[in-house]
Amino acid sequence: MKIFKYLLLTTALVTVQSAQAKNDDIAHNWTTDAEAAAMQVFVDTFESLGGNWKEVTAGSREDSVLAAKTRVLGGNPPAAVQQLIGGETADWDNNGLSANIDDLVKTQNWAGKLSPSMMKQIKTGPHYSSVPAFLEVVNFLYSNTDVLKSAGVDEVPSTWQAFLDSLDKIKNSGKIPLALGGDSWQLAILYDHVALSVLNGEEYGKVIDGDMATLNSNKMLQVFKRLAFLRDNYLDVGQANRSFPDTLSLVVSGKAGYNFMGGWGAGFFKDKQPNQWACTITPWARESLTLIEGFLFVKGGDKATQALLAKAVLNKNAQQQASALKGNIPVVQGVNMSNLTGCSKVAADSLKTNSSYTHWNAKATDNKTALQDVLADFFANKISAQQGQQQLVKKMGLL
Amino acid sequence: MVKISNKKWGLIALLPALIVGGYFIWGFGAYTAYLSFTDSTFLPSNTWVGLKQYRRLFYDDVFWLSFKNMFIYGSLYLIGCIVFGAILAILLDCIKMGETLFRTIILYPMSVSLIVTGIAWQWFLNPTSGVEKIVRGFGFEGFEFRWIVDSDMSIYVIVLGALWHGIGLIMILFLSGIKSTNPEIWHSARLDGIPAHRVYTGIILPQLRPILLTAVILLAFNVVRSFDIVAALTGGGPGRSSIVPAMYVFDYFFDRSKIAQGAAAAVIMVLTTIIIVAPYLIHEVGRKGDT
Repeated sequence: MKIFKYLLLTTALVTVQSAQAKNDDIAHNWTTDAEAAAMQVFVDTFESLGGNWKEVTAGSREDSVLAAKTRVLGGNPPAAVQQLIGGETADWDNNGLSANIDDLVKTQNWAGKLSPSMMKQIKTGPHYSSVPAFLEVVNFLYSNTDVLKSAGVDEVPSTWQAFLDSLDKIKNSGKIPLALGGDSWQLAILYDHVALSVLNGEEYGKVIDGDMATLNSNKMLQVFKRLAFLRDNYLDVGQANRSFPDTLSLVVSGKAGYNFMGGWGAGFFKDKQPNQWACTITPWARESLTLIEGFLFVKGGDKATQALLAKAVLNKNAQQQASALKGNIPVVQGVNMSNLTGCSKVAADSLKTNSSYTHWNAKATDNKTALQDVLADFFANKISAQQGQQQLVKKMGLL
Repeated sequence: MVKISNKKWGLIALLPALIVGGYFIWGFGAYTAYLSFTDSTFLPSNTWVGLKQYRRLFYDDVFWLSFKNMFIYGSLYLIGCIVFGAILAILLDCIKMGETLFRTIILYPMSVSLIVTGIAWQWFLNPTSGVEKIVRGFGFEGFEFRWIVDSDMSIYVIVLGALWHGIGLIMILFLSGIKSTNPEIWHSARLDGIPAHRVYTGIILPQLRPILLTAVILLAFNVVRSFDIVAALTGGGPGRSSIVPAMYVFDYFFDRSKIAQGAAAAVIMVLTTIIIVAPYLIHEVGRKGDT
């Protein structure tokens, strides 16, 4: 009997080993409610196309990508890794870790499904390597309209000057005008909106790409001056050390008037009545800052799985259902977006009126850390606008 | 049958652990040191660049700040834990009733993970939700306790949280040492008319030198590898003012995908630890030969 048990165990181990060796699993971190529901749509489509879905999950995107990178180095790569398409996928491309899917793009006729600008944005290296799944708009302003009304602000301001006036009124009514946290990425999100009050979308992109002319311009100095003005007048004393959930909660609970945050902030307001809060894309700008979430195909991953995943993700029905569940915008053209509600609808509508530009989170790692480092120093040590601009010029110049 | 002595059995039993430890700890440590001399960024590479990464560290203000922070935090934490731990141990030895209760209370923080410690102290020290708000609520309108959002004081905030967590262990070490001293000492001391505090400082504490050595080593390791409490309490902030070397290494290895620079920082961390701990270790272990 003992021999039988050992045989069974060995067979099981060998089978597991050979399943891993097939490199047909997909690494992702869409494990929380809305994300998991959206992922399930893709899984169902994948399996209806004849595939056998295998996945490996992690709690955060960083963990998932790191685990996948380690597996690649160990010679046992997954078929695909869920990532933000942009600077990080460019790293994979430039280090030769991504699969070349140019022929897949042709045979599946991606050009017929995606817009030309999308086709351009997902090619982050010498060849195509990722399939986009969702489009996210990041530059949201969340307002507690009760706080605004009781301070004498009738509606969410639509110009920068009106915004400043409303901040004064909220300050006089005894509440925190602008809720801001301590993490450097939160500061960078505030930067997005202030930058768009001075720069246009192209200039915004040039700043993060390190274009010296734009960085040295008077407009950039104006951006830092406006940041300094907000920093010195409208924040609260607990700002420097606060996480983003605690910060957004200040707006939800009515202690603060405004918070700038990404689309993922909408979920925090779910217990409030629709007339008590508002989400708007940067009111004083004609730009929507976007991120593309998708799957990077790994070199050495199973090609059949990769083809099926691409087909499932770009399937029109799957796109319609999954995007509504996750609260993001579908990437395939012509998908019915009537199921999008709330802030996701606001985001989708903004793309009809605004031009879209890539958010800093999808830019090269060095560039976004340079921006975040300077902002962290700017806010922590209260340096002047001139010094802030000079530091950013210096850091970008070193790249 | 060949007769194998107990000593040899001991060596044989330890051999697997030695091999595994040697390969994974020392072997990988050597690989990290090797990587620090390459130009690895996103992935390990084999291109030798000599001391380029070390030169980068030399010119990075944040790197020097992280070491300055480690020394401030480390010395305050070490001295604080040992002094307060010893005092508490002596006090616990003196009281007759309630020793178990006090021992449990003082030891309890150690059972809380450093991450939870960091998060709890972060809430506790945030001016809008913690101590400042509570004391102001008692009527002291002008009270301020804003260290945690002050760039100059944020590292001392880490010391507070770490002390709260670490004193219990040191107290227990000293207490067990005190309790294992010869009770005859007390009889002789009473006969000679020596006051209790002189007995402690002059006779008992000096006997606890091996315990002191253990305590210092444990605490020193805690300091060098402290990442979780800093990450949870201040996140390295405000700005980068409370960053410590372990955070710097982690940052460059993972967030910034600059493996070689992170490796160089890690090598310097290890060298610093060896330079500080080794002389003390050698001195103390060497003493064993005397007694």
